[in-house]
Amino acid sequence: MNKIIEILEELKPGVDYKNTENLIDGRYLDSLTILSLVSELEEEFDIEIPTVEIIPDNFNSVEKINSLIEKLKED
Amino acid sequence: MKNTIKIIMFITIAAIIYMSLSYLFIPKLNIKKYGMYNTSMYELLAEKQNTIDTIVLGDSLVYSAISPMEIYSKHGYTVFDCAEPAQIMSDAYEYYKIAIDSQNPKIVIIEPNMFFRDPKEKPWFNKTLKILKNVFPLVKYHNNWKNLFFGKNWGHINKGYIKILHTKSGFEYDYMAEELNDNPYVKGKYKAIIPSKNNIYIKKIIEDCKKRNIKVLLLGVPSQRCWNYEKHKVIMKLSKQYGVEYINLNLDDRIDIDWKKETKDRGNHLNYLGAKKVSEFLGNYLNSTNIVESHKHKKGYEGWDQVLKTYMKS
Amino acid sequence: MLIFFTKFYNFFFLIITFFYNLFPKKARPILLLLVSLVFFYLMSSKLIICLFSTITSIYLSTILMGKLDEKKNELLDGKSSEEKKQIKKIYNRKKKIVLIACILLNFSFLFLFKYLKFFTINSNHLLNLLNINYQFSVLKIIAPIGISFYTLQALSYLFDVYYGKISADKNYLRVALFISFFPQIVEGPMARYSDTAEDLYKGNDITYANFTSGMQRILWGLFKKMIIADRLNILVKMVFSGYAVYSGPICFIGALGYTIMLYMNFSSTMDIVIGIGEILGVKIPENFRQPFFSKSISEFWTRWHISLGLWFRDYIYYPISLSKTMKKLTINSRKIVGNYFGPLISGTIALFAVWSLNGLWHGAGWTFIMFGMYHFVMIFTGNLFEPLIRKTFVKFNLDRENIYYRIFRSIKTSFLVIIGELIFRAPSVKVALVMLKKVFTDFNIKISEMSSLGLDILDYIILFVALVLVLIVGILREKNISIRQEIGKMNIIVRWAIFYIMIFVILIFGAYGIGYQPVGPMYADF
Repeated sequence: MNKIIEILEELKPGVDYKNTENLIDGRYLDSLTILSLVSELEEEFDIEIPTVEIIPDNFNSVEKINSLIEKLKED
Repeated sequence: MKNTIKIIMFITIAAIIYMSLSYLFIPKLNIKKYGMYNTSMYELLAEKQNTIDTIVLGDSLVYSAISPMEIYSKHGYTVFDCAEPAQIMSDAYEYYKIAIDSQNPKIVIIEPNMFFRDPKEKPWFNKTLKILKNVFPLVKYHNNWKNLFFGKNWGHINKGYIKILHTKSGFEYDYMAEELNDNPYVKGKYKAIIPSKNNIYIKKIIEDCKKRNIKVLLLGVPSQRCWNYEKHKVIMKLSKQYGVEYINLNLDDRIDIDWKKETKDRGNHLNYLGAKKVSEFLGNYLNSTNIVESHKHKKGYEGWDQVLKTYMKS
Repeated sequence: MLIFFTKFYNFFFLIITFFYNLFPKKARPILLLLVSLVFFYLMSSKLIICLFSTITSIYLSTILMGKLDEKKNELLDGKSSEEKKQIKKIYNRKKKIVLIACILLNFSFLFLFKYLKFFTINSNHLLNLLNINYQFSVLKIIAPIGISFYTLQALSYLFDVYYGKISADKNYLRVALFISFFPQIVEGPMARYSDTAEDLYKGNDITYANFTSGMQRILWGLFKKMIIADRLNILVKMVFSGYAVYSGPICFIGALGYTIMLYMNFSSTMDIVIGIGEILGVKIPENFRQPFFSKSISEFWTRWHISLGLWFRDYIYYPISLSKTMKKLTINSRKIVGNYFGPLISGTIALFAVWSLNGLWHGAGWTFIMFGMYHFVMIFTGNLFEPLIRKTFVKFNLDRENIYYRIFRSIKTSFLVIIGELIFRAPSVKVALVMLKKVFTDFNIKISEMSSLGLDILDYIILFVALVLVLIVGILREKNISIRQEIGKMNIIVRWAIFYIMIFVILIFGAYGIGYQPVGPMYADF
C-alpha cells in the first residue's frame, strides 16, 4: 500500500491518495499518468497488467490498485 | 389505477390548453363568421376579406405549380391556391363557395384534371387526411407568435402553394401525343370520362361565376402522369360548351418544362423550378387580361408586402 | 406537420410503448428485435444484409473464442508451467486469428460503404498528378444506416470477449438485439455489452415511474432540438454557404452557431434515446457531460461523445500505449526525460493513432482528417506545456482552482472547440482555410450582417433565453443536482405547470413549419 502511494506521489504530487476514492472519475489521474503508473507498478511488483484491467474501477483508489496487484500476483 | 387517472387528467388538461392556444393563434379575420374549424380547414380564410383577385381551384397539381407570391412579387396581383390533395369536385365546390363568400375574385382559374376524379375515390382517406391536417391549428399557425406578440397577423406566406425543392427526374416521353404507345405511366387504354356527378358541380361553379361576372379560365397544369391527349380533347369540348377560355400548358408553346430537372416525383408534380415557370406564365397571362390590377405597396395590402419579404428569404 | 410524428423512429417508439406491456415477458425482446429490424429495413432496405453479417460474424467469432478458452483450460489442467506457457501461446494465437478475421470482415463493410469513394477519388487525383492516363470508376454507394455506430458497438463486444472481460453469449437473439436496438443504431450512444444487453433482453414492464421519467427526458431533448438546433440551422447554412461575402466575426458566429447546433442536436438525440431506454427499463450510458465546462481539450473529449472517446481509449489508446514495445519505451525514456515526459512519447504515438482514426470515423474527407489532426495537435501541445504551466502557478503561488481561472479555461477550450468545428463543418479544406483566415485577420464587425442571416431579432431573443436555460440546467447537473428528481418533489400543480409550459413552449416557439428545415441526424447518412 505504502509503496503504491509512494509511486503515485512521485508521479503526481499534491493529491491526498490515502482518502481519495475517485482518482480516475475525479480526473486526478489522466491517461498519461496511468501509462507511467502501469509501467512503474509492473516493474515494482513484477507483474503484467493486461490492458483489459485498465478500467476506472481498478484505479479509483489506492486500495483498489492494491487489490488489482494482489489479484495479478496470484495468476 | 391512480396512475391511469393521472395520465387521463394530464392529457385532458393538455387538450384544453391546446384548444385555447389554437384559438389564440389562428388568424381571426374571418373567425367570427366561419368558426374555428372552417378557418383552420380553409387556408384562404386567413386572408383579409376582399383582397384576393384571382383564386385557383384544383388538386395537388395546382399547389405544386402555382406560387402566388412569385406573381405578386413581379406584378402585384393577388392570387390564392384553393387546392387540396386529390380534390374531389364536391369539395372543390365547397371551397369555391367559401372563397366567393369571403372574397370578391375577378378571375377564377380551374385546373380540370380534378374533373376526371371519381367522386367516390378514397373519400375516407381524404377526409381523414384533411381532419388530421386541421386538428392541429396551433401546430399549423404556431409561427404566428411573432405577429401575435409583436405586430399583426399577416396571413399565409405561400398563399396555398407548397414549396418543394428536390428533384426526381421524369421520363423523356411525348405524353400528349395523339397516338400513345408504351407510355411509362399508364398501362392499357386511357380513361378520359368525367363522372356525371362531377358535371353537376362543374356546371354549378361555372354558371355561378358567370352570374357574378367572374372570368373563368380552365388551366391545364403540366403533369406527365395526369395529362394526356384524350383528357385534353374532353376539356376542349367542355370549354366550348360553356364558352370559357381554356389553356393547357401541357401543349402550349409558351412554356417548356424540363422534365429532367423540374419535377419532384418523376413527372407527376412540378418542383419549385417548374412552379416558377408556370407562375411566370400565369403572371403574364393575368397582365394581358387587363382585369386585375397591381396591389403592390397599396393601402390594405401591407400584409402581402410583409409576407413577400419572408417568402423571398425562405 | 409535427416532424417528430413523421419520423419512423418515433412512430415505432410510440407503438412499442403502447403495446409493450401487453406482450408476455418472453416475447418482448423478440418484439424489440423485430421492430429494430423493420426500422433498419425501412431505412436501408436490402443493406440489412450487412447488419446480419455483422451480427452473425460477431456472434460466431465470440462463440469460437469461448470454445477456444474452454479447450485451453481443459488442456491446462495438471500440466507443468512450461507446458502451460506453450498451450497458452498456441491458443492465444488462435484467438487472435479469429479476432483479426472478424475485425477485417467488419471493417471491409465499413470501408466499402464509407471510404471507398473517398479513396478512389483521391487515387484518381494522384494518377492525374502522376500523368497516368487511368481513372478508377467512382462507385456511388449509400451506406446502411448507423454503420459507423453499430460496427464499433459490435466490435466492442468482440474485444471484450477477446480480452476475457466478459464471456461469450450463446444467445443469438440477445447479441442481435444488443447490436441492432433501433433507438441507438442511428447515432449511438455506443453501449458496452455489459451496459445494455441484459436489460434489453429482460423485457421488464414499463412502469408509470419509468414512463414519466423517460418522457421528461425526451421532452427536454425536443426542447433543445426544436427551439435551438433547428432554429440555428438557418443561420449556419447561410454562413457556411455564403462564407465568401461574410466578414470574420460573422464567420466566427457561424462556427459558434454550428457548434451550439451540433451540441444541441446531438445531445437532444441522446436525451431521446436515453429517455426511450429509461421507459423500457434499460440504462443506456450517457454520451455528454456538460462538455463546454471542460478545462482542456483532452477533458472535453471525456465529456463530449463520451461513448466514442471511451471506445478509442479502451480499444486503441491503451492497447497501443501499453503494448510491450511501448512499455519498454516508456520505462527507458522515463529514465532520460523524467516522469512526465517519459510516458508522453508512447502516449503521443497512441494519441496520433486515435486521432487519425477519430477523424476518419467522422467521415471520409480531408476536412475530417484535418479535424482529427487539429485535435491531436491541441491535446499534444496541452500535454507538452502542462508541467510548465503547473510550475508557473506554483511559483507565483496562484490557485489553479480559482473560479475565474476555471471560467477562463472553459472559454478558452470552447473557443478551440469552435475552431475545430469550423473545420469539421466546412465543405472543403480550402473553404475551412479561407474562413479561418477571415476569423483571425478580419475583425470588421458589421451589425447589419447579423440581420441578414435568416433570423430576426425575435429568433435571437428566443435563442438567448433557451440557451440561458440550457446553461442553468448544465450548472445544476455539474453540481450533481438531479433536476427531474427535484421537479418530482414539487407539488402536483407546480410540476404539471412546468410540463405544460415545456410542451407548449416547444409547440409554439419550435422552429418547424414553413420557412424552417429541421437538422437531420448528424451521422445517419455517414
